[in-house]
Amino acid sequence: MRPLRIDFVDDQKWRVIWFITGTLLALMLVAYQFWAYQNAQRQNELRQELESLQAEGLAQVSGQALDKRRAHALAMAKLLQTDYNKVFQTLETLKQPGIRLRQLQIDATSRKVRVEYEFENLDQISVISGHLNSGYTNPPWQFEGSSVSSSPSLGGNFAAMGDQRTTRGTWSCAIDAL
Amino acid sequence: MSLAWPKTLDVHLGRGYFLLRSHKQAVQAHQYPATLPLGRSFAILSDLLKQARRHHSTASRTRRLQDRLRVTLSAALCPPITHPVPTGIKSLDELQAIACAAAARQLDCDADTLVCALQPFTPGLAAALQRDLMDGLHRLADENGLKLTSVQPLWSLVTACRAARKKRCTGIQLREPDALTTISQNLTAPLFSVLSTDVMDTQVSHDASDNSLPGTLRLELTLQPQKSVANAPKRWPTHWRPS
Repeated sequence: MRPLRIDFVDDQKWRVIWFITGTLLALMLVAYQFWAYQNAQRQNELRQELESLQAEGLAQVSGQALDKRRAHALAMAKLLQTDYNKVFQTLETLKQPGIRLRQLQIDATSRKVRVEYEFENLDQISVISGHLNSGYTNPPWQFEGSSVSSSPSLGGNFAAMGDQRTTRGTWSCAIDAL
Repeated sequence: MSLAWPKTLDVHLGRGYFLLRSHKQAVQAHQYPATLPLGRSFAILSDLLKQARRHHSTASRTRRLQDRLRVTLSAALCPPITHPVPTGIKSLDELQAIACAAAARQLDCDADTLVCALQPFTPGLAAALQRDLMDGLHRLADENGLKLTSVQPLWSLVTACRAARKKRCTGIQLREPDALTTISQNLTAPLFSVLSTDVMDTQVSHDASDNSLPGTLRLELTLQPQKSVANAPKRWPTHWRPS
């Protein structure tokens, strides 16, 4: 049968229990709200930091691109404005017997010039170096090295005159140093 | 000064007798003339309470918390009252007022002299108690430095015991030295039917061994200790026997 719990005195125990339970629940709710608020704040800060980092990153990338383009344009302009007359003038004025210009290389990227002369004896190395560096306080032309090779005699028949051993020397300089 | 956990004292009050049990002590049963005025019976009870508390209180201990007093009442002092439950009445105060009016009519007294209590979830059956008796219990507790934590009719405790809550149990019959109470549960409204009599007045005209109520839990509260009965109420565990 159904129990009949009849009491003439109010049970205060349950009031205390409900009060304590209610207080604990309220405290837990407040703590949860505080935690949620802190969490939301932290998320906002992280998002803002991420956004600022992304903005910085984009600016950097675009800045670098601008710098690169600018640098390239400047390099092109400088390249187009390069005056090679000094190089040619130096080379054209060297008229010594037994010395012949064999090769001229101009590297616009590294802005270097390399020339190869053919000469008969090693004494002519200093003559060539002196002519190339004449008029400069700091000699721009540097002798890189020499090589000996067999080549047909100058202006002759191979079979009739025989091979002559010639010496070739290489000099290089930076265009901007001229 | 040390803090001691509050002890609980149980008292069962009937017409002409009471049972007293203090913490971890044997139940004491006392009888007195039923015609004794309420004040005199309370004075006897108060002396017994003081003696009982003296057993387990020493001068060196000081209790900060009050000991508790739990009181059960026999059906002669706190009878069950059936009352109608009009549809639409949901307020507990209104139900209590209706129960008081029904109790006043049944007990042939003024409603102002009664205190009624009912369980809100099972309307239709209430307990009624004389206001003087209730005030006397409060005074008794105050005079002895006790906190009155519970005043219940014994028949309500029986309905809440494990044996009564079984499915096949449809009612209870409680025999006390001063009353016989039979409560049956109906499947339809009203939820409860009550036959409660004062045995001392009408024990001739009513046959207490009525077997026409199958599924009824029959218990008797005795003044002498008995062997324990399975699933009996936990209050006064050594004073129950099947009737």
